Amino acid sequence: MVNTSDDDSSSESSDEEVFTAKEYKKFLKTMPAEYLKRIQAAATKESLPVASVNVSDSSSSAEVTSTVTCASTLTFTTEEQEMEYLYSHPGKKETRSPFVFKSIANYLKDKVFPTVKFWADSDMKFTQPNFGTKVQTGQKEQARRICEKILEHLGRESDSGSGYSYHVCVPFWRAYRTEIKDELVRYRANVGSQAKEMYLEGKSIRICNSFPIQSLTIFG
Amino acid sequence: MRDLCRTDSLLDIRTTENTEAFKAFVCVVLPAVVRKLHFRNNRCHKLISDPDFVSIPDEAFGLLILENNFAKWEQYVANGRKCDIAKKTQTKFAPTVRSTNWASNTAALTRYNAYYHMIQQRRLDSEQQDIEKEIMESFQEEYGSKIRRTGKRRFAEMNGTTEGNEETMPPLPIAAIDSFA
Repeated sequence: MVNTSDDDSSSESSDEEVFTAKEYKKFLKTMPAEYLKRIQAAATKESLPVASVNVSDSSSSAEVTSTVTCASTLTFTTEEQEMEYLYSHPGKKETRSPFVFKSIANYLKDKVFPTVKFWADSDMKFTQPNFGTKVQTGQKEQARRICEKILEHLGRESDSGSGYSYHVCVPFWRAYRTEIKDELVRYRANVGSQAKEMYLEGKSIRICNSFPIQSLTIFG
Repeated sequence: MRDLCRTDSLLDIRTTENTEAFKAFVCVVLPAVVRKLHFRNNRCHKLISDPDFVSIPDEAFGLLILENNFAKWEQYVANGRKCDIAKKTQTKFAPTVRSTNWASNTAALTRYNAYYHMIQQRRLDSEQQDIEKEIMESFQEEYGSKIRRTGKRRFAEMNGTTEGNEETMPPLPIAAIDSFA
């Protein structure tokens, strides 16, 4: 994707490379990966988060100026690259809301915790699950499946035919993943402490007198 | 149940020889795992193996917690709640005495998986289902088998009206909107 703007200030810089529109198109078609690398190298040199292409065609001869800016539009060759960009860009993160999180917490408590006690994914897979479209249903990571279920519970509209695309999932997951992980840890800890209380104080709910569970209720 | 914990043989809890231990486990540990209110609402009319009541991960996690903390809890039982010895007792799967991060321990996860598979198999046994029925009937004897309704249904029962039978319901008051005419 290329962002076209009428900003002429970028063309005044002496460091910029100047392409004609034809060259630019040819360049994108033939060597997109190398072009991306060059942009990313330039971005890291200028300590910008991720590079993007800003094109301005101010002149009548359709001269296109390519410059490195900190914008959000970039031509991606693969969805993995775009996902990586979404994961790394600080601006591509959903704004956290306590009300949304409350709803997530309720869903986790009622639906997720009865079936998921421990995360099956590794740390890396949990932090950055692959939300790509090519992943088959059986190969989806646990984090991805839970993320999709939560989005469904929250009533978010699916933006692709099969469900939620990574454009929706990645910003959402980035915003709430730590809380989701902590919430499950908290539930586990709560279960432990409550079981301890019942064991120690003899708060066991008695079935009937015939069962010898009195031996457990030593603590008066 | 304590004997099973001591001998490290909690995997045999769902056998016919250890029925009493299983009943004790259901009474002591499971309410904490599935939440007490949920346990109270379902104990009299659902079997333990009902996934809406106690799922397999719930049961496996309960067993894991029991195994992990048994030594520490026994110290508390023997020496009292404010006992320093009990506080310094290391749980089974914890890496250090002070660490509470036992859940990421590979041994704990392996044990959890073992419990999971054991429960998955044993839940299908007819003998185990009979034991579960027995537990449910015991709960019914103790607490009654009537399902306590909450909210709208409960008030409908209290007023003598039943849901879905609108003919027997008293007529609703008519709002005096004619006064605006």
